Amino acid sequence: MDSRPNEPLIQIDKVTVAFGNRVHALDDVTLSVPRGSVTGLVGESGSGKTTLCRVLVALQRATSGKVSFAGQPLSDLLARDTLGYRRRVQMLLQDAAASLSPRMAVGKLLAEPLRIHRLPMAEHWPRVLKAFERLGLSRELLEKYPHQLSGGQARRVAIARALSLQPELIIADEPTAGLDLSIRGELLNLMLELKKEYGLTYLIVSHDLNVIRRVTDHTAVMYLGQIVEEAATSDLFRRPRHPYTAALLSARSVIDPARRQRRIILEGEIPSPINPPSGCRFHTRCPMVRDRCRIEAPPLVDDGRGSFRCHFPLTENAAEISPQTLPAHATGTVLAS
Amino acid sequence: MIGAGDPLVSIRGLTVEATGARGPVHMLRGMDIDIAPGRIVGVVGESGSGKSTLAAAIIGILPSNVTKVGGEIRFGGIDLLTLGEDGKRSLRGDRIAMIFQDPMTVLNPVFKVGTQLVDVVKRKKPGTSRQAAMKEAEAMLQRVGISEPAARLACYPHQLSGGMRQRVMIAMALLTNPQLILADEPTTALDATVEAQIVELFRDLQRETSSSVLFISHHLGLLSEFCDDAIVVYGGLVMETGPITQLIGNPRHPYTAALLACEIDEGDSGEPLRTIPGAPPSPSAPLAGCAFAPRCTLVTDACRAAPVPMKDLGGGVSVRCIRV
Amino acid sequence: MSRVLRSIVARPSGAFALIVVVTICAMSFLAPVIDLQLPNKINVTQRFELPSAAHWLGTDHLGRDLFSRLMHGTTVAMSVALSAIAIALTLGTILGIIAAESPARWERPILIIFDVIASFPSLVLALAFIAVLGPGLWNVAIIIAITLVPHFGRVARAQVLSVREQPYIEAEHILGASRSRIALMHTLPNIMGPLVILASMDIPVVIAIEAGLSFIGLGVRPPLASWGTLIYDGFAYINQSTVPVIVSCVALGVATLGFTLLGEALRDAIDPRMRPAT
Repeated sequence: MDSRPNEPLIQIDKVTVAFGNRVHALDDVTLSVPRGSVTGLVGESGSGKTTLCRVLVALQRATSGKVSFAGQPLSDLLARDTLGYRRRVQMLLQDAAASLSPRMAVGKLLAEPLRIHRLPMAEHWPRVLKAFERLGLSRELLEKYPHQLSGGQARRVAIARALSLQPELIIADEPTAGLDLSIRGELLNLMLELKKEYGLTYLIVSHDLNVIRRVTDHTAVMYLGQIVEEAATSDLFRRPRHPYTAALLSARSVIDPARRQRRIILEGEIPSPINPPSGCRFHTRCPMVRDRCRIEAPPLVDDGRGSFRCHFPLTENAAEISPQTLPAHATGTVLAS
Repeated sequence: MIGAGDPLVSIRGLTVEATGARGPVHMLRGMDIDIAPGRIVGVVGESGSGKSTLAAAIIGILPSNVTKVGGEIRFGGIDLLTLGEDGKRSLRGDRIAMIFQDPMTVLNPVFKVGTQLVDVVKRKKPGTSRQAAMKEAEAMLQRVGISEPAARLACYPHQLSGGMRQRVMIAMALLTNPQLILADEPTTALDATVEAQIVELFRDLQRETSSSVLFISHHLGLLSEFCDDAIVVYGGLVMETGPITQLIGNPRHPYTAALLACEIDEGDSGEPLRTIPGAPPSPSAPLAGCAFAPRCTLVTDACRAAPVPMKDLGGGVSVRCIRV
Repeated sequence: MSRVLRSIVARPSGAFALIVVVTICAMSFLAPVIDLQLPNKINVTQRFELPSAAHWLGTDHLGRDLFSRLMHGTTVAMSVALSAIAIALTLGTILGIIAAESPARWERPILIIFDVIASFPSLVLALAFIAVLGPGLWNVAIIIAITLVPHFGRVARAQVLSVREQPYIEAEHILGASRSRIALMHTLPNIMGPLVILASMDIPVVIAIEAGLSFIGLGVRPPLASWGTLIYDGFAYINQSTVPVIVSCVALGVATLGFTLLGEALRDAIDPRMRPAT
């Protein structure tokens, strides 16, 4: 296993996932996850984040396009050794408590991956226990059942279970949803420490933009099955290019009133993927929509600082979407806080 | 009648005790809260702090294992705790409304949205014709920001998106023109963009109606965007209360400060996130001193010795800390 | 196991049910062993005796000891009930899981068979089968089992369909667990709760069907004692003495109640989600 720093661990190339003929859950998605990075995936429900994750954990087959893992095509890896691939890529499901089989005590749940992969207990169990304790869980918990765990404990147990296979990539779907602030902080700190200790790569799906901003290196923004913008997290937050990114960023809560941005309130909700809008998929909600957007679908443009899918990218910062600059026919309303 | 300066809701010494497997569980340990007419009051605290119990106690839907309720909840001159089941029910449909995290707790899946909204109107104003009630329901959907309200009235709840259902539930609450709206984490399950829409809606409502709102959340940052006042609860007690700008700009209680420090809207990536070491007090154990003492960085022996009283600092700010 | 027991006994109805069921089981096991009064020993001089030290529950129209016959009736009822339920539960669960987990071309025939069997009332179907196979203890058990298979199969299938969507099943797929492992280790334990309660609540139903068949002479053949034949004999001679019919009806009633209550207590006890969080 080589570890050249910038070699992509995951390379997703023009991947499409279609259900039937009309529903495109993913449409022409290209994304690379560098080894050792923390990549964030944001977007509303229905944007395709979950489908993308399911493709990566081989629960969903891509209709077209190519996924590579550590330089090898995913289809080859799966054909040769599916179990081997599963050891390298693990996923933390959003509802951690519900992802633990309810009739198994925690100890048995942790041993389960070893049994599935026929790893000798004598050799691996001490390592699993060590990770368990490293996660701040006491051994008494080994006897407990999932429903007896607190929200934070359930998430730690799920992490310990994923770590027991010594994966290279961990996909975390909303790892902190529903947690108290303090516990959210503890969990994210822990995940970042584990990343260093275990040499992990993370793909973190979250709708909490503050979490994404604080813990990720790269961020990809999804909308209706497409990646509409992707860039280094700090760049993305400082200078979003896609109006959707700008709207999403403006929706994050900021406590200090002086630092609060103008809030761009998007009208309505994400359209159905069964019948996506023509042209740019975001045009029905875009505050800066122009005629061209309705007709012509923008391609993914890479300008070296990141990529985006917009005919008229924002140039300076989100503040330029203000009532003054809004075209008269804009469908979105903008309200200053 | 209540005078201009009187609070709409005045809660004094509210205690709620339940019976658990291992003895009594203190869900609320003596809360004093005032809600002024027309104000949006945020309640913030960690899970187990008693914030949801507070709303349940006000509206009279405490869980069945609750055995003891003490103190009083004065609402427009009546003590809600002395009301019978009938009295509570008539208040609920009329002067107090509740909004939940999951709209399906309120919406009946087998009836159309219109039917359910019309029922609310007719209960409030008996004798209204179905047509007039439908008109009113449509206007209300429009007001909570639902496009094509007439078409939505003919939908069943499952045909609407989560954000839309949340709006329907809010419309349902507003149709009764209540004096008090209790909102228990109504945006927690929603996308950030939809959450922003709902927050915007609450901000509009605050301008347009005279209703008071008690908005419960575990997220101080969210509350800071639209609330007038905030109440910080911990271990079944109020720790600090006051205008939200005061609370955020100048937190007086170490717990409020610690909660604020946990917010991650500032700071750089790479630096560890702030946490509050330790865990909230167990509701089944009695409190000797300050509830926050075991996790407080400024703790002294005096904090652990005796319960700390609430201290009025003027300007609407009250704090339960011996250091102020 | 002791935890399940403790939580059953914790409630009065559970304790009562447990006592009833343990007594019935003990009676059914002990009857063949400690046969003090032979159940078929006829003594025409002692017909319709009232309960006494010699005959605890009195005697019937042939002077046979009622207590002894009741004990033997319990053995018959329990063997038929337990074997029929065991067969139906096993077969139904397997077919239910197969139906839920396999493609439509397997699922459909299974469901059609379930529907065909279930569209007849159990008793009518049992009558039809017995007309062909002839009466007898084991025929009765097998026939009742067949009539109950759809009952368990449908519940098992519905349970699998709902459990399959649970996040922990998806999590197991991600961990790499095979389909058979998931079915056995994760699906099965999580669908067993409702099936076990169903099984324990079906025991009294089976006992009643067996008693009914025996009552009309199509179940257990005389002189073998069954609760059905006891009730039949009691009815035939109700003018001479009401004791036999009362004794056998009470036995049937108490057994039904006991198993039903135990089923409910068992359901609450074995489902960990019902256990208080600690």
